[in-house]
Amino acid sequence: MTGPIYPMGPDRKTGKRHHHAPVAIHGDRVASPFFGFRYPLTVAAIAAPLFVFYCYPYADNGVMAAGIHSYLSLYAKIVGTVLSALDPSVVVNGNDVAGHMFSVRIVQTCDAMEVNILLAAALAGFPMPPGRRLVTVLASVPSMTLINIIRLCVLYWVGAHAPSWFRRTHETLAPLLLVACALVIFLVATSRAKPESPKCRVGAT
Amino acid sequence: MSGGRNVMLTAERPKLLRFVVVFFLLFALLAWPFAFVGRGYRSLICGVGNRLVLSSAHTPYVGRLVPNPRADLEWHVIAVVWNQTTNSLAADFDIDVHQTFHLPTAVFGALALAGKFTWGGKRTVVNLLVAIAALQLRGALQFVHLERSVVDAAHAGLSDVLLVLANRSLVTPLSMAFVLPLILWFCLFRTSLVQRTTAARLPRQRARSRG
Repeated sequence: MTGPIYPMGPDRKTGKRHHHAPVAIHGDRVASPFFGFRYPLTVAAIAAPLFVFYCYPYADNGVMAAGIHSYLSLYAKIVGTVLSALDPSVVVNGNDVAGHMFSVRIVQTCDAMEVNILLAAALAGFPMPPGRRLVTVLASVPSMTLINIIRLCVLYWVGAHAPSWFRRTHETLAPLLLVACALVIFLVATSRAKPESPKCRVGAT
Repeated sequence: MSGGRNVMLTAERPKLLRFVVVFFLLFALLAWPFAFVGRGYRSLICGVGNRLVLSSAHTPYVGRLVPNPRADLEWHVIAVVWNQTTNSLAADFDIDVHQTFHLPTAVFGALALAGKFTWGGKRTVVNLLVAIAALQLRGALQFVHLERSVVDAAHAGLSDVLLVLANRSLVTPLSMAFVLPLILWFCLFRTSLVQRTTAARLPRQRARSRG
């Protein structure tokens, strides 16, 4: 297809652009924030250093390793506090959350940091005004943390009451729901986003 | 026009809901760990892995994938690293084929089928093959990482650091089994999806804008 499919530019009467309406067409592609390489590259440029910072194999006796351990201990304390409201036998010792029936250890991937990083990068790279971008990023991280704490509590409950389901829940259902929640947060956060400028809506194909 | 209201969450809601339901049903079917599928899948992984990936193993070490002999572990493969100099076993690892190889493929398959991508002939075939091959690389990465940890215990080189980084960010997090196929599906089949969404919403927006 060579010609434009939906030739919608600025409104003829008001001169304003329609939100979420495509403004330019490249070949058979309708221009949108997702098209072209600009958006994926921006997201990758934001996410890559964060992944390197978090996943780098730091020395075991270094400052960073100690910092990550403290952070995971804090995470375990939060999870333990929530769980102790439901099960008084729960005790937190370092990264371990132990109860009479089950115990979990919070390790580096249990904090859903990879989902947090990708979600924050996807929102930070999305073409919208800087203020709104900041608000969505700052709101999405605690939301995902809250969802992850709920996930850990549910996993503890499943481990204690339905141990045969624990592995499947831990490895398949919980990550799937976590990613689905992140996707919903992304869609909701970007659903009312107004474009930063008309230029941002055109992908660099 | 209602400001920044997104059509994907309003006018497209029934379509989106249908997509989610179909995806979950397909995913449950494709990802279910049937024993016979597991046996077939691990045979395929062992065959392809031993022929393509492990033939270039570091000397004096040789890597080899063998199906786990335990009857209840149909989805498991044992990765063996053999020291040819001493003619002894250097290390062996258990790899869950379901988690590493099959789950991302099932997610991608469910997304592709639920998204009802338009058949584009050769391009679609190429896209599907590229995606499936790319998703298997995650499993290969895991084995290479395990093998390198045996071969080069010092982990001094930059390549080792990059390998550890890739393993920690792409293989170890369980959610990456879902994130990677989602990104891949979006990159390969986004055109048809967004075009359909746009086609559905634009007449309505045009009518609103004209009052």
